[in-house]
Amino acid sequence: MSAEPPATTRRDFLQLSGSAAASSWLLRFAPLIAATQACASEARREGRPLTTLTEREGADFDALSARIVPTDDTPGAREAGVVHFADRALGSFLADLLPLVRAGLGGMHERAAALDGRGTAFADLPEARQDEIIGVVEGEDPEFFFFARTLVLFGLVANPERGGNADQIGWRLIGFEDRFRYEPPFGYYDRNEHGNPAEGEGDR
Amino acid sequence: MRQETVRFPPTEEVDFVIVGSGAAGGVLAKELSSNGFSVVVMEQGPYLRPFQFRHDEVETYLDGGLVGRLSDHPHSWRATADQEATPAFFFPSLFYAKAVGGSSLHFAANYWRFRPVDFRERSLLGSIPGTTFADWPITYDELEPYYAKVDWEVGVSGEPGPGDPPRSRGYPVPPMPIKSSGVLLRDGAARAGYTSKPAPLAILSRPHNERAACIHCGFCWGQACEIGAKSSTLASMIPVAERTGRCEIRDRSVVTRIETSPQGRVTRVVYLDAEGVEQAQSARAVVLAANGAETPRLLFLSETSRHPDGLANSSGFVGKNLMFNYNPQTWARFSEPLNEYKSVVATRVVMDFYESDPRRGFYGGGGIDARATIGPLFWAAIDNPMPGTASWGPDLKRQLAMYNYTMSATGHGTSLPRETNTITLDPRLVDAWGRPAIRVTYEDHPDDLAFAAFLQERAVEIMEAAGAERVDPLPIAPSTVTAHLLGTCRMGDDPRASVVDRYHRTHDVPNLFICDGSSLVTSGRGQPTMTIQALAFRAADHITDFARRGEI
Repeated sequence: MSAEPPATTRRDFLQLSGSAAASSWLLRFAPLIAATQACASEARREGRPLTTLTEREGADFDALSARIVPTDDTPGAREAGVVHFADRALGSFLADLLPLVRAGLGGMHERAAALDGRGTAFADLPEARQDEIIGVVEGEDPEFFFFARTLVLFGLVANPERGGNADQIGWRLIGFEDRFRYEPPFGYYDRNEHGNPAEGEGDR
Repeated sequence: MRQETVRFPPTEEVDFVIVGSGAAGGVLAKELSSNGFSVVVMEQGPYLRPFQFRHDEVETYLDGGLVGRLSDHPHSWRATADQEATPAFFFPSLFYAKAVGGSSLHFAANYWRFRPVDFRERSLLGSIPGTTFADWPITYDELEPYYAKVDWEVGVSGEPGPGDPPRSRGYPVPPMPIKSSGVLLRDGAARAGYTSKPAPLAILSRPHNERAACIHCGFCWGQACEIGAKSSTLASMIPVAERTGRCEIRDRSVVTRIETSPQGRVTRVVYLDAEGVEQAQSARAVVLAANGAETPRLLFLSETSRHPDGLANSSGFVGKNLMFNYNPQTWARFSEPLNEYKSVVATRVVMDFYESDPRRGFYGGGGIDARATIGPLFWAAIDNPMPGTASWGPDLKRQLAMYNYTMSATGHGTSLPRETNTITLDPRLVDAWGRPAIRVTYEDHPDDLAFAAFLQERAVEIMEAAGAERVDPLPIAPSTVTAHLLGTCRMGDDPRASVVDRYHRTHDVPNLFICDGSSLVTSGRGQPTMTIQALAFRAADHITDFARRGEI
């Protein structure tokens, strides 16, 4: 696992403040904060069984996710393991959505099975046929499509502890890193704005 | 540490119960306990410690984070009273934190003072049909010393700029370092002929009051600050209140009713404790600071034969005149990375459109700030697809990668008070504690939308002048979600047209005070929290005087 080491250390915290009281306050909490940040994305998802979605539902959701954020020269939703995020979410804090998602996946499965008359699963169709079905579903079952898409995108960029965003694939796609502490300059357009580099070494 | 703080038995009469520990409640707790009174603060949410705050947007928005689960806190929404209200599903429509510190935990920390004009616009501009537009019973000058207290005691960073109202004291700490979005807004505004200034923020740029400075982690908006640099009342006020030895923060205490005596005085605050067991805390006086939705709900729940339409509601104004502040949004994409995920939400503001100008043909005023998206989760799932982008497939994937090249020029404007925009009790929905759920009825006034469109046109102009590759103004649509809850227990001199007097005492109940967003007479220009806190400091001074003179 390529989890970044936490960018913030006890030394960093001491540098933060000229105030002794603030420093001692921070020192009490720094190890806990660092631990919280460090435990992101500690587990690999491949091979982990689904607990809420059935195997078929999981395979179809995974295939759907791979068309919503496809794999090309960079990894997409499939490699980020968003199906595992969805599986966990639908089994817990988004349980209210499960019937809707389950019905939508069922509808997609039936469309796929009817398409070639041989009962082929959505997940096993060629990508072009999958795209046809998604186009129809987006128009005819917009509520399912909205929530399925939302689950895919949540799973892509949510904190990896939530089961998706494997190897921070989603964060790397959008260019986000969760390093807890930054110093100016922050971006290209403010590069000449900070005459005196702020206290401590910039770690961007 | 918390174990050393005072505990009051509920049967022992304390001087004050304050309902709510947020922006206003935290200030009132600190002030009243520092002035020698015994205080119990009731907070429906938990007492979280900074190390429990996480960079986990899923927890924040979906999994019972600061705003709580929708199943525990259901609420409903409709535009007009002839419609059936729809229960919120998936995302909350009313976005406020349930934890010690309230929404000051998760606000974006923009701390704009109101200006003198905000308090007397009705006199200056005349009446507006279909509204209850009114002057305030107090002036900017009366509130100014308390704005200065917010700056110094709560902790605000900033620097005076064009159009600022008079101030008796400078800022305690300098503005936060400018971000790329701030540079682009500043330079675009200058090219378009407008002015800008550093955004005043309730976030410390330097250590102050034994609190640490911001480390630019970028998780201010919607999240709570792990190091206490954001000036929530949890970081700034509550610790001072607890150190007096006279203030108990009673968390996980869900208030269900304010009890009154046959003589019409408040006697006890009834609540469900952390185990769900009903308790009642006796008090000489009660201050409601629960926010512009929870406060009117509690007044409705406290009806008696003497107060048949809800406590303190002889005017019929409880729950009415709800105001949100409209936020027109404009996305702008640039060729080089801005990396807006770092540091605070906004670092520059344009205030050239603050005052309402009758020549525009509609009422309204506000400002524009340069801001980041709310975070990766919002960017991926809510902000996208951008106009003209596919909702899935390779086009969406390319667009997602534009995160660091994108900013928002966001407008913050007025909402007019209307009697028809209300907080009421939902007749069917019930929350996890058996209380009727909050029902919102809200329709933006046409002038609010017209001004939002005007402000958005200026934002487009500024972003184009800044050299944006692409500018996407989002449609001006009716409000369906809010984090600002204002005006529902309005302050005024006339007991027939207001709920509290100029000192925040309810017109009907001598020992019941209300001070929170519900007290506001007008909406300000989109950043109400600083004014809510200035009102709270001022209210505490007057309540203290009344108590010492035996006038409560």
